[in-house]
Amino acid sequence: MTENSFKVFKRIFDGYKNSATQSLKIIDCFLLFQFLTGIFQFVYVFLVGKFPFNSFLAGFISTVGSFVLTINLRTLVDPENKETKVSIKRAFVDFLICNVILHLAVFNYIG
Amino acid sequence: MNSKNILFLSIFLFFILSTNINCSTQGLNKIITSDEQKKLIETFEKTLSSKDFKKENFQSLLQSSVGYQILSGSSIWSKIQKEDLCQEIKTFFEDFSPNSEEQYESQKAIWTTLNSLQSGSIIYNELQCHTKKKNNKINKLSPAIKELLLKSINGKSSRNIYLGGQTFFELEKTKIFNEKETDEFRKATLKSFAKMLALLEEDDPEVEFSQYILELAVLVVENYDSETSYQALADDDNDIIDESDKTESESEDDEEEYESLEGYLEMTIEELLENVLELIPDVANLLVENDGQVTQSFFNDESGKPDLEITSRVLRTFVKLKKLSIKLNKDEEEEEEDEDEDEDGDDEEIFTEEDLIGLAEFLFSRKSTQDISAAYNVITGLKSLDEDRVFKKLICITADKEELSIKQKSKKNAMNLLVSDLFGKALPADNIEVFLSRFSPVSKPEQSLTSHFLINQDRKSGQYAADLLAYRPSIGFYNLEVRVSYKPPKAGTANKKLRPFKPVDVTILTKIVGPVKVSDLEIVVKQPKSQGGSVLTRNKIKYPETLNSAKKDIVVNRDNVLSISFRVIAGQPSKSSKKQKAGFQQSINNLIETHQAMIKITDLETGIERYFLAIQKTKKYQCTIDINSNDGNMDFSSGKYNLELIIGNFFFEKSIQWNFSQIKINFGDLSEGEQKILDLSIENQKIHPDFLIKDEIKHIFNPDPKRPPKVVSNAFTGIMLIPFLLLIILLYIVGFNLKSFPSLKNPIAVITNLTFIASLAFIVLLFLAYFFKLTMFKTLFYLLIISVISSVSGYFTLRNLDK
Repeated sequence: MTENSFKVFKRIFDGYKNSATQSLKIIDCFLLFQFLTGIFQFVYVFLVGKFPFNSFLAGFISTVGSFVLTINLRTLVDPENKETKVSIKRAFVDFLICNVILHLAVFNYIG
Repeated sequence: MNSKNILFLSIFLFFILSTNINCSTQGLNKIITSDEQKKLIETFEKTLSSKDFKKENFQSLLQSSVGYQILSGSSIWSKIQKEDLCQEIKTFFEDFSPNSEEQYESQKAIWTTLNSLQSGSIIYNELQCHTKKKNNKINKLSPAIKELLLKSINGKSSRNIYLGGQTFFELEKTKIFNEKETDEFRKATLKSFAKMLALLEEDDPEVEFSQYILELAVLVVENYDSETSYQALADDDNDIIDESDKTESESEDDEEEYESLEGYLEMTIEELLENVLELIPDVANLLVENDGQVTQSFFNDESGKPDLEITSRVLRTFVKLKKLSIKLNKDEEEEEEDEDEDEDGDDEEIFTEEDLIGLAEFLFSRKSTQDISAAYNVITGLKSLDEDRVFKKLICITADKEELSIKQKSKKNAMNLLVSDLFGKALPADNIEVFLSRFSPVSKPEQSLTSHFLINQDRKSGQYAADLLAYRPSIGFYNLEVRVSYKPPKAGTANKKLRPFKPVDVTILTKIVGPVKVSDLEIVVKQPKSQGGSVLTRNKIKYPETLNSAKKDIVVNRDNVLSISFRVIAGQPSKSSKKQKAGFQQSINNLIETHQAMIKITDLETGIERYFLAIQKTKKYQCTIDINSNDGNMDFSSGKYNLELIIGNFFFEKSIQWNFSQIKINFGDLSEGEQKILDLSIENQKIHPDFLIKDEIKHIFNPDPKRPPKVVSNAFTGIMLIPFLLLIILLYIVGFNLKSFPSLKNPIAVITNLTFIASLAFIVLLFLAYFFKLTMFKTLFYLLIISVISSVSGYFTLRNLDK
């Protein structure tokens, strides 16, 4: 049973490794990083209580917001995406600007 | 003389006397005393306390000055900085502009502005601002003021017409308007006045009448020639065509509304004045129907409370109108020096004596006000009532003492009567005669201790001494009736200071008091009747000594009954004249009843006081205290007590509070219920904790909730770095290429590339700096700079990427 599932996972993983371009893989690592950071923050708050709630919100929204923006970048960068036609540079610049604004708000809110 | 003549003469005299008595009138037994006048003067002077004059204060300044002038005779203006006030008035008149259109709409705003304008202009003239210094003169009136004045004079509210008209006439004296404007205002004022009178004729005066129509009448009569009329003024105007055009279009409206307007427009000022004078009796009726208190519903204002301002204003305008009409008639008729006119002049007088007294009482009831406009109204109202050319003379008789003691010597201690007007100014002694008519006890009004006789004036004090003690009154309340009648001056004396009046009766309530003493005080402790009623101890105490407690204490045990009896004796005037050698002797031999007679028992330990009433039995007072029953409310507390006797009455010179003995009350052992009552009584003496001062509460903010221990936090901070490391490892695994980085052969591209990356790094650093040090504004400023750099370099970098 586990052997089968292991095989399935490996197959998906290989498919992923072959199909994805390098930039997509880099973005995927970044996504994983943001995801884990968010999860860890959430667990911490769950454990010790939400006293400086604003700080928790700032951190959490930082990760979640960046996650969202990075996903957006990934969809625009993906070569298999034929619906939206935006150049990569444009997507990247948008990504940067939105991140700056997000983190301005986040740093304001950390308190 | 034969008997027939004597009879005839006596009947004649009796007739005269009786008619004299029947025709007498009431006077007042109170005045506005000099202390009260001083307080009012202080109230008026308070307006000077704010040295900073504002336009809102003009009216109170003016009112204070009039009131002050009436009371003290001198002018209040000498106490202020006239220049500052003149400057303020000048600035107000020159620079006035309403804040918004809304100000014109609100009635209240218009009233306050007009009030300030009217008062300001009157003060301006009184202080002669335009003559003293040139820079105080109003050079040019603000056009908004002219517009407001015109609008109010041409409006429908008589109050506004009056205020606007008065302002115009005051300012006209300083020659600030040109001829055309003056003409316009004069015609408009007269026309509005005629309109108001026509309006009155149409409608019920109770519904539409306004006190300000009277003021307007005074204004018109004072400022216009008595022979002119509106028609005459209109005819003088050169532009007859324009006038007739106007009147054609306007007269259609007018004819619909006021049928009688044309008639009024043609009347001369004299005729208009006569019309107004005819209204006076109606207004007077309105005023006194409510006992001198007018409900404002009769005048076109809001609420229905009795009004001081209206009463005072109506009285003032009555006086002014009457005086003006007398002045106008002076040239036509001879002024008759007569005494008959007033004897039968009930029809010609506006108010009857009772009404005048009612009005005076109403004004007196407000004399202790601290409000400036109320004080002004009281003083001017009283001053108007004092005018004996217009109203009947009001005579006030006041006594300087409220009570006399029979212990005092008679001639030196007389009751001094001041016969005066409302303000306490004595009437000239040459023109009056003061009689003491009756001096009778209130309880027996038919008994008078004196007959009708003349009192002489004490030349020093100017008052009339009524030597009441000479009649040897016993103690009690007395009604003193005084009559004042007119005495014609001796032939040859030039000025007639006082106009003739009917005899006036005034009743003054006085009190005769006397000394008091207690006699035959006896303390008896005895067995209750059920056990025989035998007397255990008996002590007699003489007033005002205290029982000597060195001797055996009076002890009252539980079974015993405490009984205290005494007699009250008051002083009476001695009937024998022999004892009246050096003044007045009294003999204390009169048993009387008192109002209050009680025994007070004070517990020496707890301080609780208890009272027991003494009941009178055939002129002997007895107080029985049965300590056992709870009626006595002794609350079963044993111990030492102080006994005091309290006696009080109206007619004692000084009431008695006499501590005559100490006793010891012994209850012995108490049952449970009785002990509870005792404890409760002691408990009740303590003040409930709710009424005592409590501890101060010091405010503390909400404490921060608990934080996790630092170890845990630091551990988690470490855990947070794991994903970052993971990221780096993964990136390493995935591999990143820097092929797109420009080669060093293209330095510009390298620089722009590096600049771009550096600017992004700087943004991150900027955020960190914001967290630690900077404010948002600075951050945004720096962000702006860096974003410009990054966008420029980013553009070039990305463009070069393709290449």
